[in-house]
Amino acid sequence: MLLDWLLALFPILLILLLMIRFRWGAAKAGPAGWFAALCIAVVRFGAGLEVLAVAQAKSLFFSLDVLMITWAAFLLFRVVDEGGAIQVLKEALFRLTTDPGMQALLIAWAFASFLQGVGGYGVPVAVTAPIMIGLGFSPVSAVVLPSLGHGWSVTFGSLAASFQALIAATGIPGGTLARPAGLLLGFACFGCGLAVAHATGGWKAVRRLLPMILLLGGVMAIVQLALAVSGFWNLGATGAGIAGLAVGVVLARYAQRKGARAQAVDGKQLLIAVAGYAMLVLLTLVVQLAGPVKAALSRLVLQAPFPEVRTALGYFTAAEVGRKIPLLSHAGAILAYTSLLTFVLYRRVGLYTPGAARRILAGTTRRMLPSSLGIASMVAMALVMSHAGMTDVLARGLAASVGRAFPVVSPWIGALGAFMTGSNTNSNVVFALLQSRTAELLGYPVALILAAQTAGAAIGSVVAPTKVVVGASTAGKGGEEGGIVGRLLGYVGLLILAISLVVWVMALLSGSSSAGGS
Amino acid sequence: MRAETKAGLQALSFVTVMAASAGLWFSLSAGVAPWTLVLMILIALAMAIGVWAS
Repeated sequence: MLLDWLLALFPILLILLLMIRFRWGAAKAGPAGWFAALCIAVVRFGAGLEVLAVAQAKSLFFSLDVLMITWAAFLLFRVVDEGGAIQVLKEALFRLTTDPGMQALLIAWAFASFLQGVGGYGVPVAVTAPIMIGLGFSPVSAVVLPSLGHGWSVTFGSLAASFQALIAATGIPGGTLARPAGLLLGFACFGCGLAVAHATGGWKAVRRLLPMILLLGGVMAIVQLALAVSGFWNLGATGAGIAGLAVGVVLARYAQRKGARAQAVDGKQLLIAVAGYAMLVLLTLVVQLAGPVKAALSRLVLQAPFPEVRTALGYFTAAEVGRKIPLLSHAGAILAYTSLLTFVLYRRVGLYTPGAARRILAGTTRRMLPSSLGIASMVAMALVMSHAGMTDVLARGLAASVGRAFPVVSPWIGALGAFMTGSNTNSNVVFALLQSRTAELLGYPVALILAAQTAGAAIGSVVAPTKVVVGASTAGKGGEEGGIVGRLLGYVGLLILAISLVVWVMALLSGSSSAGGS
Repeated sequence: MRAETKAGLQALSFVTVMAASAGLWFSLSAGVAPWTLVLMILIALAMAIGVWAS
């Protein structure tokens, strides 16, 4: 029934309207969407108090799973930044090459992807835009280039917070989702490199830099895919960024020999600067691979059983054991250990001025608190909608209207969610259940459709007004967001279109292979 | 509104939402109780404060 479908869609449309038309942040729009979902669930979909209570209680675990990572990832970034390490990395890249095309690929593509891996939340553009301006790029290009360059690394960036949200929202194991997501995002990696080259110097730059794009893109895409399918998805973008930087530095040095001599970089200073992130890689490997360590840290688990619930209209959610959170071996816990060890190391080598710890904690809290309420409310909204049967109504309507074209539409839904909420994570939380339910109804591989959701969301997030505002303000172009969005839209549209076509082909192939196998 | 007050209210809102959700989880073991409704209202109020302070 059309009215039910429109009412089920209303909370999502409301968030879209509030964030885009009225420029509300996630912390304001999220609760509004939650409240709308709650009212509609009760009045139209027959959700009783028990249904709402179960959905809300489950949202606590889902939110904690994501928030532990987002808080700890930003804490590590603040620990490193407070010690001046990001500045050292900036200067090292600044001195490496004088070729604008190479500079754009190294800084706006590889370095921005690395920053997305370890930080996220607008950090890649905020950090690289001032460097690009320093190198002589126009302020608008300084925002546009890293925005395009880091898009492919968003899902496995921020220690894979968005991927973790995809797992949390659907309950599908990460191992199942990692391969299709890694493949689609790897494809997007080449597209982002081409977009950066084109935005720097048109087709002439694309032709000149094509070997570099293919080599660097191949390395980053393969490293991310390999890490993701091996279970190290929280290091996917970080590892890819490090590999891309390593290869890029070698290529830049090789190219520089032919031209003007680059300035030398202080190796010791650089080593200390990357020590925090090297420690993160090391600790993650130890916790994941060393059996006894993993077993010891996995003993303390947060998990709870939930009863079955049924709405007055008969929509049924089975009893289940909720999300499992291994408190001491969680990606967020590993980030917290790394932050602490890095802080101790940097203090020992004298990188901090008095009051550093207070500034780090205050900066982290100030930055993460508003987005935390946004995430918690949007997670709760998504769960209220799914427990009241609203997501099911939406999925059935979508399946009936777009039918077999759904794989082509799927990345655009993810992109729309990211555009409206400013985040790949939020888009996955809001739309993952809808996408997986629709895929089930239409008989498409759920993992592929969810990969399309997150790939579309990753690329779509770079043009989200909330992200563009952060980039524009760091480049001193506050108030010119419209022009930046205008330049980004064409590239982003083409990238998502390319992803749609790849998803369509993959869906056709998987359909024919499963038909052949059965 | 002063930045400190704003941050304090946002923190209060977020912590209340999470704590009340945890309260709901505990209350579920006893089925729906009168304070289930109280906790849901508390969450709504806390979110309203968060919206106001943002």
